[in-house]
Amino acid sequence: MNVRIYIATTEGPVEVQRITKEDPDVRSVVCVNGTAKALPISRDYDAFVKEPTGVIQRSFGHPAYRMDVSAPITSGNSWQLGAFVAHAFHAEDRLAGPEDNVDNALWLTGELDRDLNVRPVDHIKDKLIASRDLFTKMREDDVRLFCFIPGGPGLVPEDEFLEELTIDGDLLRLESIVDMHRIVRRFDLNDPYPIEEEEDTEDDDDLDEEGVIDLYKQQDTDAAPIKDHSLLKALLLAGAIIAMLVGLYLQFEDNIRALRANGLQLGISELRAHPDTGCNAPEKLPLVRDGNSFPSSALDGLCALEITLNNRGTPTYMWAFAQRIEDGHFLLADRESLVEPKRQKGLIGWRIVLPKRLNKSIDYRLVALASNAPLGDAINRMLRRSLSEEKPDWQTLKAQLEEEDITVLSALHSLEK
Amino acid sequence: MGSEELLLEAGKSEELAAALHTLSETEVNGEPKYTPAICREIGKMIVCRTYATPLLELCHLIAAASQLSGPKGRYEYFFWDSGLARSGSFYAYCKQNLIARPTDSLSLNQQALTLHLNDTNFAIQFGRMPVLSALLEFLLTSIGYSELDETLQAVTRKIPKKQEVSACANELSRQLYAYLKDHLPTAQSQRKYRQILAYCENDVSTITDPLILDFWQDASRETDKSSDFKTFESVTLGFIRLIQAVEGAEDLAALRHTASIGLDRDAGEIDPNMLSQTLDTVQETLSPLLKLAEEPMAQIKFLNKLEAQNLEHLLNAGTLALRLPLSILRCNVFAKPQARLTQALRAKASPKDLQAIIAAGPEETYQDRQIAYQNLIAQIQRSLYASLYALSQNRRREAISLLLKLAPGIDFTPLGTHLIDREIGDNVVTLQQSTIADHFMTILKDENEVGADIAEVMSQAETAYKGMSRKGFKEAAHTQSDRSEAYIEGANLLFEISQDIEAYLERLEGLPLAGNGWQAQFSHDRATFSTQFSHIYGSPS
Amino acid sequence: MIDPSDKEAEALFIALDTLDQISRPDPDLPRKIGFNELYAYANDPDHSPASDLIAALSTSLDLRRDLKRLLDKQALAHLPRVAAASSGEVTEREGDGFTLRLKPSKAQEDQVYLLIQALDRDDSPRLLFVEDEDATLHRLVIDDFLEGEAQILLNLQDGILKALRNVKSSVILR
Repeated sequence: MNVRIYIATTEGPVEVQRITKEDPDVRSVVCVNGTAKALPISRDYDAFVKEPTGVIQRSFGHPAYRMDVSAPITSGNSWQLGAFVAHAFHAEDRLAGPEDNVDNALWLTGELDRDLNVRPVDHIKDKLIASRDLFTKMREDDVRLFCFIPGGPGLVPEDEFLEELTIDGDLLRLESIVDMHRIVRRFDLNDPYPIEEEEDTEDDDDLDEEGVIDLYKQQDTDAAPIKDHSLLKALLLAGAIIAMLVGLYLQFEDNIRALRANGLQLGISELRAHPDTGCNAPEKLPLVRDGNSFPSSALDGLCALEITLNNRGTPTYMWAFAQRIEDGHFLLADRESLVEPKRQKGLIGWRIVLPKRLNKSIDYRLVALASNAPLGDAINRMLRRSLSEEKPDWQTLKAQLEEEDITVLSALHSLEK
Repeated sequence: MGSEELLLEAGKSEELAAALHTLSETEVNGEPKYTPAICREIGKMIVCRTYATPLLELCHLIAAASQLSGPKGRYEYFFWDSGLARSGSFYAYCKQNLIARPTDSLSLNQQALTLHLNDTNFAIQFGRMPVLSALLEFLLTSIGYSELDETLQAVTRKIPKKQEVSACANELSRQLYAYLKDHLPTAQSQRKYRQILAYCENDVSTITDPLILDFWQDASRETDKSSDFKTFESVTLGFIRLIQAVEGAEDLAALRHTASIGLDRDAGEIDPNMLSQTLDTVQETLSPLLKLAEEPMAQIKFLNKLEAQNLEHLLNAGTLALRLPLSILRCNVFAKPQARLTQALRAKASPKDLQAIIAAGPEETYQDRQIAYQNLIAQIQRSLYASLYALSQNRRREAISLLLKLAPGIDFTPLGTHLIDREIGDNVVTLQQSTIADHFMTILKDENEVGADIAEVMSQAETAYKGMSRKGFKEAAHTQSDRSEAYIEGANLLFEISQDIEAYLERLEGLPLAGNGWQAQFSHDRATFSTQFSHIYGSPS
Repeated sequence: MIDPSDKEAEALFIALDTLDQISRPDPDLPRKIGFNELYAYANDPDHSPASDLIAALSTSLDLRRDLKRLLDKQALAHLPRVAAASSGEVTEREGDGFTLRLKPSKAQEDQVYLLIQALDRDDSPRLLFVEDEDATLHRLVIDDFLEGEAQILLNLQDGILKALRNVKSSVILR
């Protein structure tokens, strides 16, 4: 079935209604609703189409097109990603017209360079807000909408904002991309990359390794854009946050994945000795996240740490632990959740008691896990594997956990002497 | 004159009125290109036929503009690519173009652009250029571009000689004369003059409010559709103009008699320039309103459009408003329903609709109108206080004279102590005036320094400024220093207007009224006007 | 008492009364097209003409003559009448360093591309006027003449396209 393409603008989504080849003697134009009024971006579109500057002719072999859109696009270059993808679908006769029924639609914003890398653009949040009505309409019509935005620091809106817009990773998904590969693969498009560049992309199995950040990454079985309303799959959607390294503050690691679809959020609380009761009845002090980082904790008077997960979505199985960076030793949290597994939601905390007589600053990785299956077996397997290693490697551990369909959130935190 | 000819004549004057109306409506980026005073100047030039000299100036200016333009001869650029018709815009345009394309045929200083002809020089003041450019716009709109451009070839294609410019001006003069001959409603005005004069038996001293009403009741019922006296407003204005014309003529006679300045009445013609000057004198009372629309006062909205319109009847009558107070009031109140009737008639409204308009009567009563005038005084007062605040914030010494004008009765003695010379040691040091002003500005709000009265006035001024949201008052006062001249001049004009309104209201207070009250007078007049409207606009039955 | 034959009083009255009549702000007055408006129409691509200007241009020969004179005087280029193509319709014009070509759109059959190109000139025309055989002047804003060329889409039913195709019309670039 054909796919509908929307170009995101701050004035609202603009539908690509039709692409038609024009006489090579004329310049490519963008018109509104089939009228004779060429939009001011037509010159830029022509440069985007025609070689040597343009990429459309190189990928699809024709130098002049007319693109009809549903509303004006006034300025900038953020229409380029949407226009390119529309051409890719048009080349395979899969671009939906205004009257066509569709199951899938794409909403895109981004600038493209000569190598089809997606460049950052401004006003992503404004464009999302301006598309609120479209999102509602798509949901009502049961159309799955994929939103593609450029990847990069500061470009992905925060969880609360996405939740507010009902971006749930199921019918409405948001992904940030750094090039065209993900779209090509997901929608089974012919590769638009020039032949000489093809070799470079062959090894590109793991897109995350290429720097593609998938906010709502589905499992391989869930990759195809099909109609699927399973709540279970919604739970499996994963997201990522780019870590910011900030001195001794807690640092999010690259590509931390979060169950944003149902609002899973990592937090840390200090449990500090009470002036009267000491560590028997400690005071709980949640660390306030400053952007993507937490402040480090002073060891003096610290009884324990509590890792929290705030699950504002569907109940799921969760647990947490810590790993010392220096030697890879584990510090396990209370194991009630493993022994008596149950699906939980809301704010859940796991206490990690710190070794006594710590006399130096120490860095930990705090890890939270979530899955739609009980976690006990997987944890046992992880611990068993680790026993044979002198210093368990975190990346390996993480990969193994993820292989078992477990969502892993982790953060580095410092305890300061 | 038959009614068909009369209609034809009315149509001719409409064409001229439309051309002048277009001139006043001409805009550049949403702002009027020509100020009301300039448009009035053009109107006066036309009716007094004093355009010979301006046309000569204009021809020189067009010759100069043709030398200024990129490709020579494109004088249009100067007039239509230079923005609003203000002396400053023309100066900037000339300077910029002379820097870009210096030419021996032109030179300029701050005041004037000088055209160096082969045989003489001719300086055109920048201050004259707005009027000259309006004159050209009027000529092109009324006579047409093709015809005029053909005539102007003599001065635009090359640097002309003096006599070529004169010849061109004469030709323009001839073309304008021919146009006006066909379009000035002189005969109509002459007929009106004679009719009104006959009604008051050649004695303008007999003109009173009842006489005007009687005349209207008689004249407006003439069946001739083109009657000059259908509306009460036009009748009143006709009588006012008659009195003004007769008094003006008497002044001229007295001048001739006493001054022996060589004025000669030849064949009954009046010298156009003398006519123009007399017109200025007669219409002086309107000038505060026109001046408020001029630079720099136009930067500040002292009066809005409606307020200015509300003042027109009163100011148009000048001192005669005090002689014919009821007629002015009747115009104010009954002109609007009559205008609605005229419009409805043009829109071919049914007799029933017309009757409904008559039955609805005026929107306001005489008392309402007097309250409206009092509100206008209050508004003017607020503007004056706000101007005082703006001037004091910008440390302009004129604030002190405005303060003295606004509150003449308050205790100024505390201020006096700051005016006396100050002694420093044995030497008496006289403070310079500017220093005194500066000093005042700092202490004006300080009750301990200037006393409670002055501090109170200044506090009112601040409240007035902050309470106004009009252009010129809504910005932070201390940032308005470049508008100080506008506040100063505007305040003087507002005082004049305010005094005129106060005198008029005072006159109304002492007026003997039908039924001893305004309510009774209004009811009486409303009945009179309704009856008369029915006669004029009612169905033939 | 005033002598009714007092010419000075009469002249003053006539002047005052005439000034009142010609300065009255009467909303019912027929509107006259000011030269300022005609000039903007001829020169300013941002000027959107009022309907009464368009109406006056279609009915008033004098106004059309004025516009034509203004255009002739300030034109960048005149592209005179040309010999017709085999179909009897003009598809290409050339003159004063500019060419105009008409290319039917493949994408939209009821639309035609007008291609304007400067051959050896640096000037950028911003308005195009076509004068019909009956002296009607059609106006087209050229809003993106860049790097020596512009492309404008026209509808088949546009008057200006019909005029451009007419062998008896001439074109002025401004």
